[in-house]
Amino acid sequence: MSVRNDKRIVVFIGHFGSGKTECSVNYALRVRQETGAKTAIADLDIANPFFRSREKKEMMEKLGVENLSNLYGKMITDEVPALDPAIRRPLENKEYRAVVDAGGDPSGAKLLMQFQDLLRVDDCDVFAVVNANRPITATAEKAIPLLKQMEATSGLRITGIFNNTHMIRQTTIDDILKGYRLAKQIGDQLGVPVKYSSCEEHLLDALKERIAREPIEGEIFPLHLEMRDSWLDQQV
Amino acid sequence: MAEKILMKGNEAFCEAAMRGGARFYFGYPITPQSEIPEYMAAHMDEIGGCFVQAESELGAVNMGIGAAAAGGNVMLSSSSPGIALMQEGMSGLCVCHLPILLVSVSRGGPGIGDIRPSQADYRQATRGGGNGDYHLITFAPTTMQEAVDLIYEGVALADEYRNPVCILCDAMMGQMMEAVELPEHKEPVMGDAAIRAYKPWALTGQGDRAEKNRIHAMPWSPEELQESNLEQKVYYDKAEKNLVRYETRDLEDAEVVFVSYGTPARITTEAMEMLKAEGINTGMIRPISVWPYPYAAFDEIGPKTKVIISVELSLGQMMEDVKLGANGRWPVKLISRTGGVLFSSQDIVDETKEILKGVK
Repeated sequence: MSVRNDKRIVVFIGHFGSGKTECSVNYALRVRQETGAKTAIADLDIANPFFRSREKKEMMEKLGVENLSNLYGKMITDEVPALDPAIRRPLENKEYRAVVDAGGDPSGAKLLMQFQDLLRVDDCDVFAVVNANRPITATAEKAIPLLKQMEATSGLRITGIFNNTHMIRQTTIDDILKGYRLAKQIGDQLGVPVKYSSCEEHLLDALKERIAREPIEGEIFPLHLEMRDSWLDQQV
Repeated sequence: MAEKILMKGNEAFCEAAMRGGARFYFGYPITPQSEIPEYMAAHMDEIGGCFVQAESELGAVNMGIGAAAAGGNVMLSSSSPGIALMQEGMSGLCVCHLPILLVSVSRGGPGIGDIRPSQADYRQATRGGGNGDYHLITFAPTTMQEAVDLIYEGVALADEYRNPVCILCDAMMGQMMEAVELPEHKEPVMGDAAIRAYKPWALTGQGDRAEKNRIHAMPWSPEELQESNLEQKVYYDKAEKNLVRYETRDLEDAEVVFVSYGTPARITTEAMEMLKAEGINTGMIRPISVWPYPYAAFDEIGPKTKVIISVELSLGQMMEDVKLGANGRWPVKLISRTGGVLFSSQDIVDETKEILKGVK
C-alpha cells in the first residue's frame, strides 16, 4: 500500500487541533516524492490564522509542492473569508495530485461545498484525521457525530480514517495504538477502513516491532514535524 | 491530577478557570483569543455557569463588575485592543475592591495592530491602562501547564486579594497546542448562602444583616477615597511579599544573563543551548509574576556576568523593570521584535554575540 493507491485528490477533514495541517503537509510532500506528479496543497482554513501550511510555503515549493490558500501575499488577509480562485487549478487539472486541508469542525468543512463539482467520488478520497488525545474526539461516541456533521456540511463522504494520535514530542507507541483502536472503532461504524496511522520517525522501529506482534489495519505513515518549530518544545 | 491531554492554549485557559471555580464569563470575540468565548459558550452551562456574549469588551467588563459585586467568580478575556477597551472597568473593579480573573492574549499593536504574538501590552498589564492608584496582579506564564496552574490558582487569588488577577499571554500561547494535566474541579462558590459565608462583602441582599453591604464605585469624599486606596494597598503590600515568582537557570557561571518570559523565554532557552555549544555560558531569569516584579532575582546573579539582556516582543517595555532589578550593577541591553514579528533562536544567538563585542 502506498499513497500511489489513493485517489488523485485527497481531502483531510477533522476537528480543529486534530493535526490536519501537519498530516496534509507531510502527505503532500510524500505524494510529490513518490509519484513525481505536479502536487499542490490547498489550504481552506479561513478561521484559524496560526500554524497554517502557508507558513512553510517556501520549504514546500523547494520540494516541488505548490501551496494555495486565502493569502494574497499579505498577512492582513489572514482572516479575510475568501479563497484564492487558483485553488480550483489542481482540482480541475488531472495532471495534478491535490491535497486539500479543510478548516476545522463542521463549519470549516462547509467551504468544501463550493468544490463539490470537482471532488467526485471516483477521483477523491476523504480522510478523517483523528487524535484520541484530543478531549473532544477521545471516544467514538464523541467523534462520530462530529465527523457525520462534517460529511453533512461538506457534501462529501469519508473514505478512510487517518489515525494521528500523538502527544507532540511526548508520544508513545501506546498512544498510537490507543488511537488506532479508536480509529478502527470509528471506521467500523462508518464502514470505512483505517488508511494510515501516523508515527514520528524516531518511533518507527519500535512501532513496527510492536505491530509485527499485533497487526493493524492500514499503513504506518512516517511523520516529520514540519509545522512545529523546535523551540516550542524546549524544556524551560 | 488527571492524565495528560492535548489542548490548544485558549481551550486550556477555559478549563483551568472553570475548574478553579469561575462560573461567569462575559466576552466578545477577537483573534487570537476567540476560542475562549467559543469554548465558554459550549461548556459553561454544562457546569451550571453563565456565558454571555457581550455587545463589546466594554459591555463585558461591566457585566463582570456586576457579577463580581454579587459574589460570582468571573473570568474575562480579550486581546490587546479589546483589553484597552476594558481598562476603565479594570480601574473600576479596583476602586470597588472586586476580584476578577482576566486572561490577556496579546497581539501586535499599537492600535488595532495585527493578530500575531506580541508582548507590547506589558505596560498595559503591569502599569495599568486605567486611571488611579491601582495594580493588576499579573502573572506571565511560559508553558501551557504553567498557564493552567496560574489560572486555576488565580480565581482564588483574586478573591483573596480582592483585586483583578491578570494572566498575560502572547498570541502564540493562546494558539499553540501542548500536553497538559488539568486539575480537579473545585467546589464553586454559588448561591447566596455560600457566597455570604465566603464573601461577606458581596451584594447578596441585606437578609438578617444589621446593615446593608455597599460597594462604592465613587467614595463620598477625598478622605474616603484615600482610605479605600489605602485599604487596597494592604493587599498590594501583601502581594509584593507573597506573590513574587520567578525561575532562574545557570546564573552561577553566566557571562550573559537573559531575562525573558512567555514565548520568547522558550526561544531563548533554545538559543542558550546553541550559545553553550559555542562556549558562551548564559543564564536566565524568567519572571513568572510581572507585577509584583521579581527584582530580588537579580541578587542571585553570579560574579562572571558581563551583561544582562532583556529578550522580549516589545520595544523594551519589560527592560524598564530589568533596569530596576539590575540597579546599575550590570549594563542592560535589549533583543526585541515588535508588531507581531518573532525572532528565531539563531537571531538571539547572533545578536547576543554582537552585544558581547561591545561589553568588557
